[in-house]
Amino acid sequence: MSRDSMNLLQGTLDILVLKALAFGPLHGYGVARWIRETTDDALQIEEGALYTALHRMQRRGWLESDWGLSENNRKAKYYSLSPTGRKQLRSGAQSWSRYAEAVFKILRVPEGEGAS
Amino acid sequence: MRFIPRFRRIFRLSAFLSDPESDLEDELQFHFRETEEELLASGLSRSEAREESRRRFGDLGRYRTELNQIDRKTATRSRRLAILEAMSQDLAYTLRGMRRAPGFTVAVALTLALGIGANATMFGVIDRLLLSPPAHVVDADGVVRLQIHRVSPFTGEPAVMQVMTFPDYMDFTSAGTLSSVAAFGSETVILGRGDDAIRVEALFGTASFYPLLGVSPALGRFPSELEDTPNSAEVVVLSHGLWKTRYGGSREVIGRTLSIGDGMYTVVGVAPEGFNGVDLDPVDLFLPIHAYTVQSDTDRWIDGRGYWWIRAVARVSPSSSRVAATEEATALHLNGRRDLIEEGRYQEDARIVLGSIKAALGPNAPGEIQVARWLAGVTLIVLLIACANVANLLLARGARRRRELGIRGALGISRRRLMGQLLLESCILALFGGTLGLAVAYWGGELMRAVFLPSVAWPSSPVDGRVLLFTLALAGGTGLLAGIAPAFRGSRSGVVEALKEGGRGGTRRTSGGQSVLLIVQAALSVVLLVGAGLFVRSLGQVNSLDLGLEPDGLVLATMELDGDWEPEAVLALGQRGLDRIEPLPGVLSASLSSGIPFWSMSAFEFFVPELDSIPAPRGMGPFVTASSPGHLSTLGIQLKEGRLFTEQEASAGARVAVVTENMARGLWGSESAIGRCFMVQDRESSCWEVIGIVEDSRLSGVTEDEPWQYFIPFGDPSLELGMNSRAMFVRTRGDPREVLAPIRHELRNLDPSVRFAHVRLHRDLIDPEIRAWKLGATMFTLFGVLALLVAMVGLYSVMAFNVARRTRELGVRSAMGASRGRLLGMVLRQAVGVAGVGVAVGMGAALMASNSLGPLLFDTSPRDPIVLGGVAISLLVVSLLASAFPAWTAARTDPMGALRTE
Repeated sequence: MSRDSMNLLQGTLDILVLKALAFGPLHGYGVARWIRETTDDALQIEEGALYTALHRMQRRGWLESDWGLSENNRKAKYYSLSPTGRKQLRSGAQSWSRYAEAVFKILRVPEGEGAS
Repeated sequence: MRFIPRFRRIFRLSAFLSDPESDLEDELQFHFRETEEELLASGLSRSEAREESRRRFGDLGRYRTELNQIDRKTATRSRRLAILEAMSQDLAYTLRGMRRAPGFTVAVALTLALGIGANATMFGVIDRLLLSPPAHVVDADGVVRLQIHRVSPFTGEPAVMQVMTFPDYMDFTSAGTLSSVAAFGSETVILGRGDDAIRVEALFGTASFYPLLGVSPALGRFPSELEDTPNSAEVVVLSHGLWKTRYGGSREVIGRTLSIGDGMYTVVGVAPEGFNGVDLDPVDLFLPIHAYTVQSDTDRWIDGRGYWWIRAVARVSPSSSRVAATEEATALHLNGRRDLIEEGRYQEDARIVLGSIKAALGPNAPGEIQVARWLAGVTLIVLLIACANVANLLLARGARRRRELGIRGALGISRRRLMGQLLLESCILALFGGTLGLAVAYWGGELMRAVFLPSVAWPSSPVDGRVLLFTLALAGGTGLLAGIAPAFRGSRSGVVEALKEGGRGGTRRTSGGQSVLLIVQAALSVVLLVGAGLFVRSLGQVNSLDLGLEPDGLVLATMELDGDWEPEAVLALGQRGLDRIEPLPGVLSASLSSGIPFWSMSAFEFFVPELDSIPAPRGMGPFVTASSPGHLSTLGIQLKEGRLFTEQEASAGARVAVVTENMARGLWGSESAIGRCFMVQDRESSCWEVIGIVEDSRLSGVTEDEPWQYFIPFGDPSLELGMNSRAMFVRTRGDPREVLAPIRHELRNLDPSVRFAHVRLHRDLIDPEIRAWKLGATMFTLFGVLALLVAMVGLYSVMAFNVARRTRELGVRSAMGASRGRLLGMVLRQAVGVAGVGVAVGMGAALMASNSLGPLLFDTSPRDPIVLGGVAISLLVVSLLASAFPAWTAARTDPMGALRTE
């Protein structure tokens, strides 16, 4: 699969990151790994873009960060959802679902019934 | 979920301590290490793992720059948030503290409210009088008044005078250094006819007056050049106020014809709100300057060089300097008066001076405006005292809170933050004070305007935007000033000492600072009280002046008549008026007079047969008053020798006269003046016989020396005195105000040609002269007593606080055998000592300041020993009173109880 096989919209990346953090605080590596494993590496996100999303959302106040110790006792920066971030995830997920459903509807239309 | 690691917070990120850039490097390093380890575990070689992890991340350099950018913004934002949060925490903490000490909060807020309020009041006054240019004048700094510096014909002293003649003004119009020149004069005129006629203030201005000032009308237009010629000056512009009150603000008023004085004028415009020329007093009508000749029946007001009634304003041409303008104007002035100078009737060293457009800065500013200037300084002193007092209260409170502050310091609050918290507290207190102070300013402003400065046209509310801003700034400054020392000291509290000392420490150091503040308060109070004392003495001196006549209960009435009246007819009309007024209830007697004391006076050439020349009396004169019989007793002037003239003598035209004591003494020495005679106007005319001598009375001003005066009956047409005999004096019984309306009614209905009867208390002529001292005496006393009260409260609270803190020490002393008297004396001595030093310092300051106060005083030395002594004694007495209760508490200290409190 080529690197640009799937060009993610920025908003979509945000939702993915927020979703990853919905289960609890994570460091950037953890978020990347969660997304990769959950999607079976189908999205092929550049990790740099992921960190950009994390830091951007922190600036907006959607995420909070703290330094903590990782499972192997290394100092790591942990991100967690702020109340605003949680709200953002809810509304973002809803609109993304609506968007996806709309796309699906179109794709489900049999080819013979195209616009006449 | 196995990716969710064990999360343990190790420390909170402080926005101030973290470095975003190194944080990012740490974060990235962690990321690559974890990824590489994961890849190594899946079987890749170290170099492969390294390469793969970089590939997954993307362009590291680009992302790093991008991330750093984002983080910098985040850091700025969170730093701001942290500051805000700290501030709101401090605010909540401060407010909580205030709620816990409501008595302290209220005391401080009230003290500051009085101090700030007094200042806001005076700022409102000073702003209008001295700081703000006249309303609606464009580029007011460019407008100057043309004033003449010469020896005054009235006082014989060199002085700057604003008044000049119309031809003098015309001389200036050719000046090349002046881009425009305008002149104006003012006069009270009667507006309307019949019952709704009113007296209004009219400004007579040249057509150039309005464009020079740059004022544009609210409605219509101002008079044009064409409407300001001797034959066409028949238009009028209404003031905004008059337009609203008398004409309901209707646009229909334009084009209406109004009866003003002796003429008819068409309304062509309405002036903008608040415009009253360049002076402080209100103006109701704006008339062309040539209308003045119609009003006064003579062209001499326009072409005579002996008719001083106008003032001139000008703009200096942009291409010239003020010096050049002054020189040219002086040359033009002297050139215009060359004939008079050659005849020796005008000084050749007269010169023109450019004066400020602000009337209160001019040479003719009334005394109360100068006093107001002083009062502004006085209120600042009151505020300083209030500040000192608040600082003292804060210090005392800080000492009580030493433990708390020490603990807060120990808990890691930085000294800067602790100081900020303490300053915030004093600023919030000052803000409370400022808010209350606005109310004080509102009421105080209304009072000042109504009682002491009624002749100034004030803008609508005493509290406007500028006063509001001033108050806000003042409150902030006050908060900082009062809070800085206590905050500094409070934040220095060492935790160890604070805890060691318990609740009683710091006696020496703290009371040192407090003593200084108490001394400052006492000294400033002394300065104010000395000022108050001097003004009260002056007012007392002025009030105790023997005016000669008795102004209380004396009513003055004048009439405006339509048409041309012969002097005899006016006299007959006045006589009919007397006949109607004398029977009114409350009226004791009534008389007609050619002159009005404190308003007008007349003099003729005067000769005594046995003297070659008449000596010049100190109070000037001799001035003449022609009157109906009984006038002197109506005025309340006492007969000293001889008799007054009778009804028969008056109607027979007998040449008899009454003279004042000083005139009799001055002319005839110790010999009796009765039976002597003098000639008026002409040495060859027949002689007036002196039949009586009356006490001296003041004529030109309350504080002027008594002039020589003589009183004669009406009836000599050659003296043409009868034509001015429109003044009527009424001596009343009871409240003179109650007879004003009946007298007005009788005079109005005396004859159809009586246009207007102006009936008022004679006091109204005198009071403005005394107003400056009254203002000084009242306000200085008010502020002085206020200052003393504040200082007393300050002294009391500090003494009470010290006694409370020294309970243990006092208990020990008492246990060691110190008598109650000894303990009592110890506290009282301390209080009086502080007050004594304050008095000494204050006296020094007062003596230095009072020299410049001298010119505002009347017959009172700025070093008046009674005032200085009285102030010193009262301050010491007050300090004893303030410390009496704390001293008593100290003396009653129970040794056992005191020692057990630990």
